[in-house]
Order: sequence, then C-alpha cells, then structure tokens
Amino acid sequence: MRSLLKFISRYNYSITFFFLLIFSFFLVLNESFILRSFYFNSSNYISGNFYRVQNGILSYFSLEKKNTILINENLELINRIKKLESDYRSVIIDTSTVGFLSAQVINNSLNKSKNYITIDKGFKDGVRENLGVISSNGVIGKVKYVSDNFSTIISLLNTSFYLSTLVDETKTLSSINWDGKNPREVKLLYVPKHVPLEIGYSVITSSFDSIFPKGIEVGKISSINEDTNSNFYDVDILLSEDFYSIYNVYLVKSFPFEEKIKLESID
Amino acid sequence: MKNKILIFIVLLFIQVFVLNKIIFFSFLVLSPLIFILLLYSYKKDSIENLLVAFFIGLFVDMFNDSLGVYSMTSIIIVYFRNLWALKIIGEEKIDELNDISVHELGNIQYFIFSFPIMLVYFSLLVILESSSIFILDNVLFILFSSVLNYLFMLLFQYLFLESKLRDEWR
Repeated sequence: MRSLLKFISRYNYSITFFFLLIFSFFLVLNESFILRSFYFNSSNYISGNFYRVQNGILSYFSLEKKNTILINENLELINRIKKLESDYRSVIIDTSTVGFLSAQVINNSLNKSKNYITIDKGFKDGVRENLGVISSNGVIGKVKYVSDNFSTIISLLNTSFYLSTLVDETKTLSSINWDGKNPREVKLLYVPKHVPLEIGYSVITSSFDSIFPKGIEVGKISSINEDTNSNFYDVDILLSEDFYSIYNVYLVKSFPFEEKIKLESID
Repeated sequence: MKNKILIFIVLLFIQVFVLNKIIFFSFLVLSPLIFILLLYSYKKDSIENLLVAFFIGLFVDMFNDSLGVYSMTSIIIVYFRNLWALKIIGEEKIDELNDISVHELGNIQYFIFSFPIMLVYFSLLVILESSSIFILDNVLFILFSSVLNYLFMLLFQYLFLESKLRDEWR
C-alpha cells in the first residue's frame, strides 16, 4: 500500500495526464454519453443564452437579407396556393397529421465534419429529441439535444447523420449522407445501377425514418458517376437549402409517427 | 498577472464566439486557444497546468458541440509543451523565465519552441475532426494555419505582453 502511494505521488503528473487523456478520448468517441446530452452541448443554459445575446446583436445586420428571403418565401407560397387551387390537387403534406413549430437559429457551425445548429426553442416550447427540422427550402436536420429553452440540431452537414430519402421521379428508396467536403452537396447512397437516374431529378424525404413526413425536398441530383466497383451509383445532390444563410427553421411534429415508433419499439 | 488572465479570457471569447466559425480562404483558421496554451505559465510537472488546459478545452467544446476534441487537444499540447520546453530551453534557464515568450527567448529559439507545437495542435484537430491528415487539403490546412497563428502570436506578444527585458533596460 505504501509503495503504491509512493508510486502515485511520484508519478501524479503523468497519471493525471493519462487520466484526463482517457477521459477526453472517451468523450470524443461516445456520442451518447449522458453528460453530453444534458450539459456539454450548445443548447445548455450558459451557451444557449450567450448565443441568444450574440444573435440578438448580429441579427440586426442581416435584416435586409432576411426580408428578401421572407419576400421570396411569400411569393413561392402564393404561387403554390394558386396552383393548388386551380388544379384541385390534394396538398403534398397532409397538415392534419403534421404540426409545425417555428424557431430562430442562434448558432450554426459549417466548418467542421460534424456540424450542429442551435435554436432558441426548447423543452418548454414542446421540442423533443428526434423531431425533424426543415426550412422553407428543404430539410435541415433533426433535434439531437434539448434543454429547457434551447435545442441542438444535428445538421445535414454532419458526417454521422443519415436521412432516408426517395428519388421523386423513380420512387427509389435511398439515403443521403454528407462526406464532409462541399457544404452545398451531399451523397445519395444505395441507388442500384439498374435504376435510370438523370441529373436534375428531385430527392425528397421518404418518411421511413419516422422523423419527416413524405415529400419534403432535400435537393436535386447534380452529378452521377456510374464508374464504381460497387452495384450502386456514386451520386451528388445539390442541397435545396443554403446552410450559410439559415435564419428561421420549422420543427416538424408528425403525430402518427410517435405511434409508429412506440409500435416498432415493442419486442 | 490579472491583466494576463483578462487577456486570456478575452482571447477565449474571441475563439468561441467569432473565430470558431471562420475559415479564411478555405485553408486558414485563427485559433487564440493555442496562444493561451503556449503562453500559460510554465511549471514543471504541474497538475494545475493540465487541469487548466482540460477545462479551457472543455469550455470551447461546450460551445462548439465538439465534446472532447478541444479538451483532448489542450491537455496533449500542454503536456507536450512542458516536455518540449525542457528539451529546447533547458531546466536551469527555464526556472529563471517569467513566461515562455518571444521577449524572453528571442526570435529563433521561440520559433524552434512554438512552431512544432502549432503543427502538433492543428494536426490533432484535423485527426480528431476529420480522421485523416494524409489528404492534401488537410496538410495545407495544418501548414498554413500554423504559419498564420505563429505570426499572429508574435504580433499579439509584441502588442499585449510586456517585455521584462525592455523594462529592465529602462
């Protein structure tokens, strides 16, 4: 015992170093670490409030850009209503089963391989983990961590995020994932080579992941590479949303999906 | 000492709220965190050094949603810095120094001391963030960012850190 204490007191510096090293390595590897989801993310009380203050100041400088975006959004909505009225078509998303909650982006990282977005809505506003997040242009990500007043969203520009999608024209089930390179493009995965694909085809959400309702736009095919050794295409998707200018987002509450998740979780 | 702590706090806030989100010309990142880790007082085998580095890194991680990346990088850098300082400066001389700064070491010795640490710092960030440094983009990122940060650190020291030698001369 005495020799152990002697050893510890002699090498306490190196022991502390290796302890901290192993602990931080554990933090890097373990994404579902409980402390991470409760405290050490940008939706916690301290960082969330800092980002809110920062955003409150900086948002004044981008009012003109926001106005332009809102005007364009309004125009697009008016056009869509007119088209739906004239065609007597049913709406793409059945609003009786889907609820939306608007939120403001207060922090958005873009220069890492695992990017996150922080919004100013939290548990008190009805936000829960795994809610889908969209903008007027398309899919943004899903809620990862929730505190009382803030939430952290795992962005589409995060290499560990996979989204279940459909190629709209061919109805081919697929997935998308970001390869960490170009923030305007993601990869379309698992589309077999026998499916006829063309540049410009739309990629939409499939609803199979129980996060997004079917039909929300993700992007359009921008390049197709057939010269791969696998049975699948190498396809790039140009995202419909520019992640450099996201100010407002909508959280999607898909009511039937909660029932679906419960049903699927029964052994 | 109080002034130094205040400057470090300001640097930390600049890192977290401004520079974390900016990449200049796709290859350059300015990271004041490395200034703090390099300029923080040297003490031989100091657990305090390690703990301060860990908690500063954890603070950056918390705002950056990168839990573990900066805390791990910070403790490795401080551990390496303390070993490297002994090797480059020598045990006898290092005890006489107030800070490990360009004022105390001179330009050449300071370059030999700090530039390899910069390279290690950005290499660790690249490894932990993107898993591979053997891509041209990542190699350029490490080199250019190290050079930029080294130059800014010199500028920072000439502007904000007092030179004890200059004071003695007066």
